[in-house]
Amino acid sequence: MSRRRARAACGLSCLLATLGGAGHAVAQIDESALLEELERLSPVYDEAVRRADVADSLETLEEYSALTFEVDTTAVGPFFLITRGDQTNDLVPTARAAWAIYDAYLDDRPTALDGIHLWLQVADRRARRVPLAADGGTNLRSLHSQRERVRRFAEQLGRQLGEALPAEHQRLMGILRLHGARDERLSFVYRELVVSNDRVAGSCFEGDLDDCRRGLGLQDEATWWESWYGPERLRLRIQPRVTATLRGAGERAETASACWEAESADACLAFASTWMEAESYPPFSFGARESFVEYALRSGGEGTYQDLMAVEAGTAIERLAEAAGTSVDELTAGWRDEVLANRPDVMEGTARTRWATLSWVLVLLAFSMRSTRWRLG
Amino acid sequence: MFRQILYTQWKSAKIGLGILAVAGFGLPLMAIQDLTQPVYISTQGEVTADVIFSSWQLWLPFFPALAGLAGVGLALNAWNWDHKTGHIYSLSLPVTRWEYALLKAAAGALLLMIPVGMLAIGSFTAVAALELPNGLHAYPAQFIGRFLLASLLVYMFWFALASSTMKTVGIILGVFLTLTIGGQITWDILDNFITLPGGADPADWFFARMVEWPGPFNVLFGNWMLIDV
Repeated sequence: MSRRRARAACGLSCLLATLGGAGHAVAQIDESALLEELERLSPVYDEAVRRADVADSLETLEEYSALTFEVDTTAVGPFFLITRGDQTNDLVPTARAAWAIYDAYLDDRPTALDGIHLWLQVADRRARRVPLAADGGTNLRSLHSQRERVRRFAEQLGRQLGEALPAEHQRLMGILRLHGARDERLSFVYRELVVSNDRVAGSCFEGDLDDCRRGLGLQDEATWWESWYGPERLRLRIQPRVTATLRGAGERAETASACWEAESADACLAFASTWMEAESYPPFSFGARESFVEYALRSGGEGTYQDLMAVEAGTAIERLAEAAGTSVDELTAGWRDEVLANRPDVMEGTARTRWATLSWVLVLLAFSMRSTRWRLG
Repeated sequence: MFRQILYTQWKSAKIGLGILAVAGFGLPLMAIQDLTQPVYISTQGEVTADVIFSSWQLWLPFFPALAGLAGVGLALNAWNWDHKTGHIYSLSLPVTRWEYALLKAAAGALLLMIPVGMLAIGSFTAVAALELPNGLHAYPAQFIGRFLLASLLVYMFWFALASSTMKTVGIILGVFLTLTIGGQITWDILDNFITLPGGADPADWFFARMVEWPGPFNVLFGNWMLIDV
């Protein structure tokens, strides 16, 4: 704990100690009055801690720069880089080149988006507190020739910048990590929509765009898990978690028993509501979610990614739609159409397997018809 | 002569063929039987796609196993009496060895159509019994075709082995086992003493050549789904 934070913490604890001591001294003090006083002081304490945090971070930066090198601040694409002064000349061209490469990939080669998700994480303009150093010295030439180095650079940059991402951006985190050809990925999503056991997957496949958004986890809803799974599915997911101990005692014993014994979906939901939010994930896979963002960026055309960075208000899907220059419904429908157009060829390779097998059958038949010279015994 | 050879094989294999036929008809139906239970029916009164899909996947390994069993059984049955009687009967026939082997192979292949046919009836019945949700499709023809080819391949593999002497069979199976099990053990032992090149395990390589296209057993490892997207 820093000196400032220690002082802030001490400020409240010392005050409490004083109040407690005073209470002792006057023998009796109204408990509710004490709680009120604590309540009144709480924001003061929070503010003190916040200021201590800010001071700590500034102090770290000051110490960092004062003890080692000067600090430079430069804008690159959507980022603000704070770099060591002696490395600015190397790092800024590196960062600009990295940004130019990824920006071009976004428009022309969506399959090469590996690593970009970290750039999405760093989209927030408040993220400026970045001591950047480790990958310094990379020159433009090697950057172009070593894509892997660019990726590592982007990852490091993103990791350091990404902490300040506001909550509504969190749903975009990690979405863009694409592998394989686009049609293969979309075929995988197609299969997922058809055979997933989540209710919303089937109805998205049938054409319910709201459920597509629910499945992608891009629809803001307080109790989203209720809309993701039907009551029976919810019960089947929750019931195995109801242990004998939970049924026997505790605050949730009644709902636990009703869930376990009566197989009541409502009771199971009541039992699980405390942890469902923390432990449930969107029904659609990572691949489905990334295909959606990829579609949004691609359909918007050149500059969509910068536009996305510029949009500051709205939910994740609203921001994507605005950046893509379309409505949420049109964006969702377009993505769904693209998925449905990529129905996997489940019998792919069957014909060549058939011919290969028939050839082997003939070879084996020829062996079996050979004269006794083939026999070794 | 073909009729006599066919009759001889039928006579000795009819009980086994009966069992295979029942299995062929019943397996597709058993794979979908659980789907009639209420727990799998959605509130709209339909069996959902994921349940159909996962239920079939549970039963899926039985189909190549049945194809293999049918092939091995009929191949060994075809040469059983010849080995027992020291090939006296075949030597007494006015045909060459290749003609005799061809007739025998054809008779066995024809008998193989009994379990294949029953599987076809079972598959079409299973597909007809299910109302497939939107997005799922039935592939009975491809499924039956794969079963036919797989059983035919296993049949011919064992037919070729059984047509030779025990010594030949021993040599062929010995080489097969040496390359797979022996190769793996040798490789593991050597790996403790010297640095071996990664990804060059001979047993893995041999297995891959056998099961990946255009290897002989590729048909046993492909898509055996009767119902798919």
